[in-house]
Amino acid sequence: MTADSSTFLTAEGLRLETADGPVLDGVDLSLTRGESLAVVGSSGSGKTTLALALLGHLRDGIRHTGGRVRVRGADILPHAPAGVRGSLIGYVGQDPGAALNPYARIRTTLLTAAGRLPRGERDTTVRRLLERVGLPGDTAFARRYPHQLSGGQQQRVVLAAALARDPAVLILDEPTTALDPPAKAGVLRELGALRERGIGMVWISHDLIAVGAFADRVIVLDGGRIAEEGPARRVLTAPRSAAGRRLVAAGTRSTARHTRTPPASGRAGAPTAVTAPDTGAPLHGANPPDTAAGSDSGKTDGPVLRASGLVARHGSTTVLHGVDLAVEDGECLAVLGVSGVGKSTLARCLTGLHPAAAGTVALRGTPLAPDVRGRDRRERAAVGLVAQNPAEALHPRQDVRTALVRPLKRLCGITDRAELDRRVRDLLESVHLPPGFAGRLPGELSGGQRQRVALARALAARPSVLICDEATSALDTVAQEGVLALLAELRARTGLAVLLITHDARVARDASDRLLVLADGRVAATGPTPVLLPPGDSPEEQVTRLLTAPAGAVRPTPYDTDRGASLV
Amino acid sequence: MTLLAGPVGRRLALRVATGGALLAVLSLLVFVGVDLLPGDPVTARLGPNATPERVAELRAARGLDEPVLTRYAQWLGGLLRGDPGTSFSGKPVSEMLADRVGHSALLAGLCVLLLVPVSLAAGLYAARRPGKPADRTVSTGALLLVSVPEFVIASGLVLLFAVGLGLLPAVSLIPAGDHPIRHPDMLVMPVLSLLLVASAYSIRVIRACAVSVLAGPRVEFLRLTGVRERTILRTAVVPAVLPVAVQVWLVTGVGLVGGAVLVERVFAYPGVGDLLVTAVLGGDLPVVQAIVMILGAAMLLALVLADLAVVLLTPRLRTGGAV
Amino acid sequence: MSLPRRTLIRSTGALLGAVGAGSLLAACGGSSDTPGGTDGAASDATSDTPVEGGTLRAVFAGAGASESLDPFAGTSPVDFVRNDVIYDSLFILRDGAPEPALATDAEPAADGMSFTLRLREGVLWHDGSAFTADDVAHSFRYMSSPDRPLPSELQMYFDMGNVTVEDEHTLTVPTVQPIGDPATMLASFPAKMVRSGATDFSTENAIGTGPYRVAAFEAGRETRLTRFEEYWGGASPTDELVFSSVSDPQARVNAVRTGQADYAGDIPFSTAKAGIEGSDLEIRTAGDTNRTGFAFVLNANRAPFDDPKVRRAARLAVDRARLVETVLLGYGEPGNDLFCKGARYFSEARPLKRDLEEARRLVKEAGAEGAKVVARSAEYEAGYNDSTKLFVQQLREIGLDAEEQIVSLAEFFDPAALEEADSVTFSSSPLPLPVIYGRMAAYPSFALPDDEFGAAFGEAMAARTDAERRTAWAKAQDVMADRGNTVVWGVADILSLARTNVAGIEVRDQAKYPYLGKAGLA
Repeated sequence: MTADSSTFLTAEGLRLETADGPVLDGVDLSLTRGESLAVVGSSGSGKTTLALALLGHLRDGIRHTGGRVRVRGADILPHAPAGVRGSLIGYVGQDPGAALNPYARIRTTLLTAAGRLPRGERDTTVRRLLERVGLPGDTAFARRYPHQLSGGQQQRVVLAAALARDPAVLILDEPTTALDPPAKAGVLRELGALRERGIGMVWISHDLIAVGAFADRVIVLDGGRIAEEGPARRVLTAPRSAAGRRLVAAGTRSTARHTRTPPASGRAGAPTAVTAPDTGAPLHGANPPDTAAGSDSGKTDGPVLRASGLVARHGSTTVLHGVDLAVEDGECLAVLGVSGVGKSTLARCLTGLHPAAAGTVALRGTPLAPDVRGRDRRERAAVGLVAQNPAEALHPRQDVRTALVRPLKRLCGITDRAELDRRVRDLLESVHLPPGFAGRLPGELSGGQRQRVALARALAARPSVLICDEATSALDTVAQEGVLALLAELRARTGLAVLLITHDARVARDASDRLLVLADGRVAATGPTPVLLPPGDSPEEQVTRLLTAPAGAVRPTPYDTDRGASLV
Repeated sequence: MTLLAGPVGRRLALRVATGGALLAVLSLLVFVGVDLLPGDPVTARLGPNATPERVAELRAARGLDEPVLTRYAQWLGGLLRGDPGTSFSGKPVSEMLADRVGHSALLAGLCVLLLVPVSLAAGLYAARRPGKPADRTVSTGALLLVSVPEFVIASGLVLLFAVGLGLLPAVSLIPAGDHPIRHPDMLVMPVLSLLLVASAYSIRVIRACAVSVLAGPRVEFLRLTGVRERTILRTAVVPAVLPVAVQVWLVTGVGLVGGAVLVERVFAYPGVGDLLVTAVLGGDLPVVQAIVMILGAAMLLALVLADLAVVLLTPRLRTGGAV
Repeated sequence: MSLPRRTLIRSTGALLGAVGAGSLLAACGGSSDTPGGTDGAASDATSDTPVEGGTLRAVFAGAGASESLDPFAGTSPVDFVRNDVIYDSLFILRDGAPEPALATDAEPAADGMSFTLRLREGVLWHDGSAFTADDVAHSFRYMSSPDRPLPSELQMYFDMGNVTVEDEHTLTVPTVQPIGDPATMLASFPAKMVRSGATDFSTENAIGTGPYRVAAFEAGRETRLTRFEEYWGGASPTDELVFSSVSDPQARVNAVRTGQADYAGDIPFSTAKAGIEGSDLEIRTAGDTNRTGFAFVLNANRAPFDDPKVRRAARLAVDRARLVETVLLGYGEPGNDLFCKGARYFSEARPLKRDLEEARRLVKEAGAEGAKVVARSAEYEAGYNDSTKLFVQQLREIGLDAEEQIVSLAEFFDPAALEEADSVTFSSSPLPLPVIYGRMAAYPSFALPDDEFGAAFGEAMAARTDAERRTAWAKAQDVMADRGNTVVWGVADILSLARTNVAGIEVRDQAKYPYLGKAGLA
């Protein structure tokens, strides 16, 4: 057991299992001091489980059946001895909102993470920790509660807490996925600085661009096994494994455009040449399900959904100042904007969950009641919503079938059991999930699978327009691709209109026909996507330009954004 | 306080206004409801001497032959002036109630004072390792206590400590003119009886809440950051449990003021519960009406306070920013 | 070794539990004739003499905050016991006969429509002033005023608003109907004397002439009384009396057991049956002449009990032995259907033997087979409801369609409901006969509409000599025994729990509310 003195962290033949089978099947890994290691894989490959295992933590239901994990030679599975977590290894997770204790001020969180400190040193420690991650170190800021910070600031606080005891290694589990571009940039900057200072990192991500910039080595995880390992540059430009190739392809795809096909005489038009990224097979499998689009018949000309002069308030603050938009059948409109600008509010206004203070929303010309309770069943069925966080959108105690049956019963009025079963099967198939998934609970599904279930649920009532509120932000690249391809297929086949709300400029460019940029509650720019975001420049730069155009300057959101915000 | 100017203050004002309206409705319900109780207070009082003429005489003397709503209006007017009327025994109601409400409140207050640390400690202790022996013992114990009627518990305590061991007095015979607080030995068993029953429910609620917090992502993050269990309990679990627990404690506490009847009976403790039962059995309507109003108002107040406490204990609500 | 008889009566807990109190008491009690009380009373009153000094603590059932030092407002046991030692009446009852207290003599006029009342001299109030006829006149007005929660029943017999004060110690009192024995009436109804002008009975102003004065009072909790040295009947032995109000019977027993009290009045039969351990505790009975008569009063104003045959049938059907065993747990004996056993002039007729065949025959003869009978009851005293349920069963056995009507205490005495009931469960301690029959006469559902009875009753009330009264009451009770409407199935002991050294407790009018004016620790 003579470990190389510079090998800090190792996993040897690690095997972790759940009741459904192995999650990690013989994983070997080693990290030397100061090294940056990236672990990439599609969702469901076991990345998060591995990340937690490296800290000696196993979630409920996961059993340690083989192999070991050692930190500086000492075993940390099944229980990490004192002095490892926090002091030797730090952890930064994906969702800072879920990590931070809402009852504790930032100051308290940091002091708790720093351990016992004499009274006199506390204030200085807090200041030091905050400034280290690029946050203001003044008392007023330190006394804030998590909900008073933006997402990016929260994640930096998490980072500060993880670094509180100067660990040698940081485990980062998708640290920037949930953040909008400016926040992401800020966090990445800080991490870069840390790397310069020699802190080792294990970086779990599906964002290959960022990985490429930071990691020394890359490990590709597929189905619980290591598919490939090697220097970052080599793996990312010339992957040797199938999994590796898939990931790289998905991450750098620049030509997959999901466009609208004009509907021919009421029926779906010719299928587009879109292939599913994971299987390579055409998306139209056997048995295309019933394709009646929308619960209303007859596609009239004119937009399916039009909003005019929408004004929305939160209490006394006005969030939307007169927004106009329109979506046509079979079209995908992307709504782009930084976090906090009011995109979710817009989605909620359109669906009636947040009654607009002024303005109208019309479905095929007929005005809809501002409050969803004033809308009849047909109207409610016509506008579907898929939200960002699939874990929260699905009831943890209801299996997939129950979740899908609910809108079928409530909005479609179907009560016959056989009919319900048939529809559930069809829905699962339309989102490319096996019918056996009907009995599973959300906790048993990966993030991408959950989002597909949420999508299926939204599609159950056969809406005319589907509003996706950051529906792909929490997914890895491969899953993201899957969902977007699905939406494209549905648009082509059924004429479904999609309103895609996102902060990811890349997604907006690749998946939408038209684009609407929201800044400070107003429409900063709108037009066909190829015009606003021509291929060539990075989409982020283009969006920055749009946002900083004289007409709509970027103003601070209710809470201060990250210092030095820019869209990079 | 600037706290009161913002959303907290608005909420509070709304609650107080609603509470007032509810009280008004309650007063009508109480008055008419008690009036509809079976039995004529006059015949109940006269007992075997209730000849029809005497009955009619006394009814007229008490003003009981006037219509219900007229009497309600008179009573309400008196209440607003601070005069809850005269009992059918001849004494002013305020005199009868004066000390007793305070005594019952003392019992309830002492019980809640002990309830808070006991239920918090036991609930957290049981929640730390759900399903293991410690949890099973506490949870089963709580379940048993909740199922046993309080007067059985009280009688059991008397048999054990007073008659058997002779350590404590069996009956709370507080001398005239003295306040119960000056006889702590007479308070021990009544408070203990109430505590055992009240804590059972609180423990179960706190345990359930703590279990869910301990299984949540925030605690996981703290563990991954290497924070000690004790610190986790203090900074993450207790503050999350408090909003729920405070509501339970407040409502339980107020419920004890009038609900400790059986315990008061067993110990002959001069409280308001015993008075209420005697008054109901004897048909002494003014006393019943006054007590029910007081208890109703106290409960409404407790609910308002509980609501306020939740807001104050939840930073997100307290700062008014729902992002 | 032979034990003195009184020690036999004072059974300790162990003995009671083993043998069964009923049999023991039945064996020993009932046959004494010592003046001043029977064995039962002897065990309380004359066994040992209390020594000077000390404090006696007693617990009784109370009424919470509605207790009062006003002798005409309190209705709970503790009120009665307490007010009995603070205030005096004009006459008191001893063995059912009136004895002078604050009054020495009550001489009726020739026509019985008024009487002259002569007062004792040299009586002082607690504040030192003298007791005079003005006080009596004020007391009469006060107790009969409709402002009282319970105006005195005496006003049915005396015109209490119109008394004439002749001199400092004499009054003339007009009556409402001819009353031959006003002293008994004055002794039977609570007629406590309060000071002229007294309207407020707070702790400082509750002035009486009794052996104890109020030192402290808290309604529903406790009264502390200190000895009044200038009491006209001689100063009492004990320095201080403490009365505590405890509603729960078990709590009263516990108080004595753990030494917080020395005496608990009126404990339930079940507690006595279970026995009390402790060598310094004993369960006492108030004796045979102080038993409570438990009865069903039949409504003779409506069918089927308007027919004397059916009434007799009911009396033949009732199973007295079983009721005594089940409801009284053996603490008592069967009754002979007449109220107030132990009162003066009580007729010791033999109880009817149970005869179901005869009863059924009578019912058939009267044509009352299948007649509906409603038996009304509430748990006014322990045992009311249980006895009613058994009675209903027994009535069914003789062919009557009987059904119990159990209601709450508050509505029990509703006059309209009483009139609709065929049987009402009731009980009475050995009150003087004029009192009990007078009360029943006032209620239509309780009265017996029989001319012969009415005449005899009137005679008894108006009679002036003892012999006349005796004859008249004998006649009235004969009618009741023949065709009356009271089914007094049993007489129940009154039990109390005391430390063995508690002495000097007397029974005056009701054993449930004993007189503690001369009580103390021996």
